[in-house]
Amino acid sequence: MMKNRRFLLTLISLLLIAAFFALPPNYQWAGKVLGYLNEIPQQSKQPSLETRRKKRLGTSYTYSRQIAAELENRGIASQVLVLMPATTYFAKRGITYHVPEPAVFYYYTGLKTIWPNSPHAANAGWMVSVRNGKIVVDSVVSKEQIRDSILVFKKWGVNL
Amino acid sequence: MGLLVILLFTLLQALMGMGLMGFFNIRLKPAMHASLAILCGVMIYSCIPFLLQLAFIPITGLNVFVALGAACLLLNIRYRRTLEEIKRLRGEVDLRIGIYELPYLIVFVIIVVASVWRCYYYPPSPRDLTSGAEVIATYAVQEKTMINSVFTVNLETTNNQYKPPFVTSLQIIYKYAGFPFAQVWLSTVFIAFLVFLYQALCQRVHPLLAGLLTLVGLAVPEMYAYTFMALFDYSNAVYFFLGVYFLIEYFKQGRVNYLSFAGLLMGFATYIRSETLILVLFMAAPLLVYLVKNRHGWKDWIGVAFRWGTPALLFYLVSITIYNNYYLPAKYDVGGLLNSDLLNLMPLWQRIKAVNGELIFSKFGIDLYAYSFFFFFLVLLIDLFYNVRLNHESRNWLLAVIIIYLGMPVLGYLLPLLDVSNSTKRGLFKIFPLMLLYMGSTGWMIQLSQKIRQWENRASA
Repeated sequence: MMKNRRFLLTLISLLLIAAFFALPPNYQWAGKVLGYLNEIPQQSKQPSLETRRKKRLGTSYTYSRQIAAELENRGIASQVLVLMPATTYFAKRGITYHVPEPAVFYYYTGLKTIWPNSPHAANAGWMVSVRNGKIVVDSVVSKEQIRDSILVFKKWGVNL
Repeated sequence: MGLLVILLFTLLQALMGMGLMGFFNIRLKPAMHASLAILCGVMIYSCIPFLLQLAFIPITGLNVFVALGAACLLLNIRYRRTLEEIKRLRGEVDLRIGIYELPYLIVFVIIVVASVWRCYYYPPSPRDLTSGAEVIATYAVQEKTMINSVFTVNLETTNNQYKPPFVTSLQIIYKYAGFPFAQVWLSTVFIAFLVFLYQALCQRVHPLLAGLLTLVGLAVPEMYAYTFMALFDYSNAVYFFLGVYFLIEYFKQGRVNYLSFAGLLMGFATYIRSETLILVLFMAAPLLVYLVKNRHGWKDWIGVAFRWGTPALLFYLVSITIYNNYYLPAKYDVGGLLNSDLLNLMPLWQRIKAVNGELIFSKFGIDLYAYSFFFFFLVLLIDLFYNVRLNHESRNWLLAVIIIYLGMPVLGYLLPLLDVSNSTKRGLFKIFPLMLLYMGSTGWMIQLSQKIRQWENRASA
């Protein structure tokens, strides 16, 4: 008799769970969680840290790495300060790149960057821009050049 | 290998926590005791690299692990007490579960596995972490100090480097232990808290209802997301809840060790998010009511204030005032963050409206928190119909819920930097475990549980 009642209670708990997940927001959320579970077999085949970073952090990470790689190849990445335009600057030129703020850029790459609206922006020795649809990293050749670039970049503001 | 390290860490955290709980003579039923011990252990872990930094000792892997071992030994200096406690737990442990609990447990396992995997697999991503705790921890491992090259980067767009070093310290330890993305300590907090919450609810209501309530708490979409994205708010909600739990135990049992332990847990919560100090002050309101009602003398008032407030104040002083002003290379003016026009109450009213209109009673609110608030209101309504005076315990939990409900807008009013769409949204995590315990201690739920139990056991009578 007691066993039957416990079995009945089990059915009730199943019903409660079903009713709970029948509610639209819970149903949607459950779909998300099950989606996470379904991704596990595929993800476990891609154990490389770099793959995981790229997947999670997206173009914000990959473009930042590309910029840093350019300066790493020249062996100067640890010594330079790079002027970065804002996300909207890249968007206007057809590039989806959420530019990370300097602290996050440093976390991704070890490269020090600066926004154009910083009072120290003129200290940058390198700058990033878009030429022919491609992101390029150039060295600053003159004070006038950096001052003009800062003025141009400032128009695009800063997007955190 | 990673799993073995996690198991070893969990064991060490449990031992540390048991040692700490022993000093406060905290004794709970086994599953709650063990999960609470682990949560305390995680908190002790998070203090170690910070203490090394305060003492100017290089944060090398060796120093960190030696310090962890030493902390465990020190906390268990009365090792006989710990051994007796382990014996008690072994004697009392009851692994039987009702068949009707199984469906819930299966659902919980599915939800937990998805969270743990993502926590392990993906790198930390929230901007608040990558521009603060995580970048500092990454370079601390390379440079052996938390005051590292990150502070030479342009930090004009962030203040995250000034947040207390709870997450930074844990990230450092787990990076040294071989987890490049570290954040798996969050899974330990998540699982231990889930066990504690479910067991606390089972103590009050039938597992059929406890399971449902736990599910309501687990399925808060926004809060669940932060069980695999390391940040401050989920852990803050956990330790804040534990502080309230032991405060209410103090109200029930009148034992000062519970009050002292509650104060310590609130100190931990303040160590995670410094503005919790203000909420600790608000939570003193029910304490005042308790003291007045029970006609305590002024000596008791001083003792209670000391036990409740000192740990939070100390954690704040050390992790914010001393560390930020005397250790970090750049100064941070906390006073400058305060609302300078406190007599103008309009922003407070706007905050209250925004919290209700944007975060609770809106489509966006349902996307964030599902129907958890509405479920709570339904239970509250039934409770008011059932017994308008409510019972003692549920009244206390309800008061705690109200303090957070009003406290979050007040925090936003005092510190305008705390915006509704980020800080308040996540700060509201603190309300959900309190709502669950309120619901689990309502008179009608307890009576319904008794009826289910009687019906379930009638055949054996």
